[in-house]
Amino acid sequence: MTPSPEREGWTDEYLEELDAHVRALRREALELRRCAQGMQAFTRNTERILASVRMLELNLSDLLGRPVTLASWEEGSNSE
Amino acid sequence: MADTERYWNPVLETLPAARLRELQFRKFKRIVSWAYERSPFYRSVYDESGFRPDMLQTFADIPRVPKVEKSMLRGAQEDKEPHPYGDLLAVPAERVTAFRQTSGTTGRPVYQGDTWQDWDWWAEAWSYLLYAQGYRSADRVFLPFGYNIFVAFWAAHYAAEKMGCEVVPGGVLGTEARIEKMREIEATAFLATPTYVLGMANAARKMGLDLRKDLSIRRITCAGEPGASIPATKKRMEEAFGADVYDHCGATEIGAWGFECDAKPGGIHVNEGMFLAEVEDLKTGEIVQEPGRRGRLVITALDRVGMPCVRFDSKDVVQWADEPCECGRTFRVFQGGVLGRADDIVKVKGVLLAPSAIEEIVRSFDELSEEYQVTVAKRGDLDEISLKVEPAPDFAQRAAEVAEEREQVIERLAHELRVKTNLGYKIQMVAPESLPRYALKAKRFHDRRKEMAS
Repeated sequence: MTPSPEREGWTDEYLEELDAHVRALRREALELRRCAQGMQAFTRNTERILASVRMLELNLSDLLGRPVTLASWEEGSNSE
Repeated sequence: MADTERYWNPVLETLPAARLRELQFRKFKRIVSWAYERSPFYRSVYDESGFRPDMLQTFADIPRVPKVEKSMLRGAQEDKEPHPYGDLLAVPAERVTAFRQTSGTTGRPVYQGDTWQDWDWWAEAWSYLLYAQGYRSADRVFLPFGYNIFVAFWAAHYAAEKMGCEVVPGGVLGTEARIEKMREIEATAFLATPTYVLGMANAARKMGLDLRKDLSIRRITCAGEPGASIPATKKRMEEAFGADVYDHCGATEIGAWGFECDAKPGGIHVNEGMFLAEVEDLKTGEIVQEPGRRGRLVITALDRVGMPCVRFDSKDVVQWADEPCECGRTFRVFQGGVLGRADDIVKVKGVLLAPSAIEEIVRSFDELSEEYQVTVAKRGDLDEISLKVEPAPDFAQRAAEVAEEREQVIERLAHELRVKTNLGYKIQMVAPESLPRYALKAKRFHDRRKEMAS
């Protein structure tokens, strides 16, 4: 995604594009946690990443109206 | 100024009001369901009142959700598992990564269990406010507080780090050592209660320092007491340090819900992307929308998961401002910040009195120090208010020599108090530095009438 410098305001299309990246981050972090099979060095660091992803959702994804779970560590939310 | 330079999140902070309400309602429904499904406390409160989350159909339904208050939170923890959070916890206990507690000023403390996500959320809310107050990655931020079991400025520490500032923990140092360290490292900002900011100014004076020249502080953020929104107190702090002083509002059970921005609108913005603020009429409880009418703040943290905070009666007295802030944020403003506590406003001689009104008047007198003590007592059947004030260091010597000057100040003070609070006071100017000093939450107002009656 290349944001256009001429863009006026924060259009919904632009926000949707940003959110696609947020969803991809969540999906990837959840997948990494699953693959790590309980290896703490991966599980714990991934949990922190997921909490940060939740902050991105709070700042953006919640606005777009797609169901987003409150708990960063739970599956089945903005990652689909 | 580009909006990314002005706002932490330009999308939310300038969202049109209608869309902001839509977002808040959607998030409100989500947190109510979360609390109902996962916290035994909220489930029991809602079940007892016959409320179910599916009753929330429109924004106007929000007041149907039962309110909660601090005494209920305490009750939900006492002798309940998992210890010490009890029925308030909405996540498995092993998800809790941080313990904090309220100060316990009004009774048994409330124990606050937060998840890692909740601490990220605390820091996020603080990032909105620090950014709005001009903190940037070039700042060297000094934190002169006891890093302990109280929330205090912990989240400011994490937020400043998140924003890329350099954070200096001034934990166990004494006041003089903190001032020295701030000078030595050329700290550009610090955060403290107004009482402590003024205490530091006094200590620096005694050390022979000129804070405006010897330190490099450009901004100060205050919390914990309403002083930074009281013009006379703000002015004292700004003049002492030659810095901009900003207010912030929050609480352990709620989160960092409000902040003054760099446009200094004479009030604080509610972070309406993360919190839902309702104002209830002090007598009738009806929701107040119009500006300038005082009410108590009922507040919801829309994203807090470990121990949710839904329709919490904060007992803070606030009023909506009538004008939007020139900073461009659509987050609404409480004029004058938190004006007092609903349980602090007392009736004396039949007149409603907010202790903050006395502070505003006392601190507008250059001849007086910032310390004062108010006692309301009964003389026979009548209420009597005693006010003790201290001379400021410069005035103390003069007043000792010329009693007439002291009397004139007392006379002017009595007049101001009568005009602005409609009450008469028995005023005494006591010796310099004889009144109690406070490091944390100051207690300068004492109502002795109940204990005298018992």
